[in-house]
Amino acid sequence: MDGAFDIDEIRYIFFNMQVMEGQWGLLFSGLWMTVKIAVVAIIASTALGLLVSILRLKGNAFTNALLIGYLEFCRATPIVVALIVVYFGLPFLNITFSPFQSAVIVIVFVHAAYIGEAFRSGILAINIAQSEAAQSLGLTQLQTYRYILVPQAFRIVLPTLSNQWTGIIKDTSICTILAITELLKAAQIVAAWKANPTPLVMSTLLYLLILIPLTIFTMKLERKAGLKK
Amino acid sequence: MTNEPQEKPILHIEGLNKYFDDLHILKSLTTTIHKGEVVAIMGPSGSGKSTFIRCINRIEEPTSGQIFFGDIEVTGPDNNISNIRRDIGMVFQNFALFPHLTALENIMLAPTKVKKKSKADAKETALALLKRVGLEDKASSYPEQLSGGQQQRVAIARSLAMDPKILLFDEPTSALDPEMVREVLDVMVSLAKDGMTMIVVSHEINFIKEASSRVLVLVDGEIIEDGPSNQVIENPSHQRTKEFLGKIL
Repeated sequence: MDGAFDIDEIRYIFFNMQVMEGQWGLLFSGLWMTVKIAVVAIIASTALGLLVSILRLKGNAFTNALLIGYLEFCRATPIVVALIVVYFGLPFLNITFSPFQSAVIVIVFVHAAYIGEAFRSGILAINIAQSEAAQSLGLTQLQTYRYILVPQAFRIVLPTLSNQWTGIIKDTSICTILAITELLKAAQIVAAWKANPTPLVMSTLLYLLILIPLTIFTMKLERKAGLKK
Repeated sequence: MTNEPQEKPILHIEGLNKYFDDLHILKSLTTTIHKGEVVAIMGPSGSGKSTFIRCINRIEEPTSGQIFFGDIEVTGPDNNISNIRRDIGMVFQNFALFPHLTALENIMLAPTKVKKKSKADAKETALALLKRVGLEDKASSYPEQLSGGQQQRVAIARSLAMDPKILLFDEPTSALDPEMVREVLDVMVSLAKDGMTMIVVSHEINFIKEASSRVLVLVDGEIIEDGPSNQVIENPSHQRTKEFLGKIL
């Protein structure tokens, strides 16, 4: 105990498996909640982001101003602030969301703005001849987006998209301020009870359990997309 | 001139103007094209050939003038342009195949999504068309895996799948390596022989001699010459045409 970095002390503080005995169940149920929030938020923010990008490309001056305002708002506002406003602020207007709903709404709202920008630049990167060819075949604008532009944009923005998806998983941790026991909250509960930070360290490893499969999934998508380009 | 004058023209263009900002690209073009005609459009670069052909299906929006496709006014404000375009095929200089779809899927897309044909029907037609352009073994290839000439042949098959009444070709061979030009021209010649109405922006003199019935020469946005191919090429009446042909022959 005389050295500042005693290896046994570090192990006792951060990797204390005795502390974890009987506590894995809570951490895994927290992990499950994190997965649920993340999956819903990833799907919804990707869909909303796509919609935002198309509105930006096809919209008029008014919708553009609105959407630029929305984007700037999301850029400027810390996501925790947005969550506090939705969960603790909106009830004053008699608008009440459950913790789960609040978390999903805020994450989707903020990340859809970024994903929308990514899709917009992806669609703009596609050669104009692609739209012309589609329309010369009689495809409507909507069909051109659906069958020609969006599938190609997906391939272009996949690396950006996978960053955003990773960001969403990390941002689920803002739920610790709500009455919702996701992974980080579960770890905090155990750490406080046992007066030992080991559960927090374990939670970081559990985040990897989601992030690694996501990375493998997007890498596979990218490889498949590369083949088709 | 090749058809009986009583027959309703497939395409009639009246006073077509196109400006890009202040630049007057097409100057009040008027012409008529009949069913079965194969019309070549020639002219120096920048003369408005591509703009002209792109105005016909309004991929480029004309500034003024009228375009009639049979009885339908293409330029009519209330017409559904997507519906009109189904019957006007277009082949582009850079092929413009959809890179995320196989050759077969490229050809099947419009028939299934626009004409709502069944997948099985569309596939049968698509395979027959691939065979027609000599690429039946490339059905499952992606555009990237095909040579330029092969891509352009798939693009022609893609247009044919909609069963168009007229085909527009915008410099279909000018992005190709010389050794691939012939395979594309062969397909075009066979289409012409089958009676397909075609408008072809091209300087391929062999194709024009072999397959086209009529040549329009466009210079500075105006049609300065319009006549049977051999006459325009062997014996042009306009000095500009002579100069121009002198450079490319």
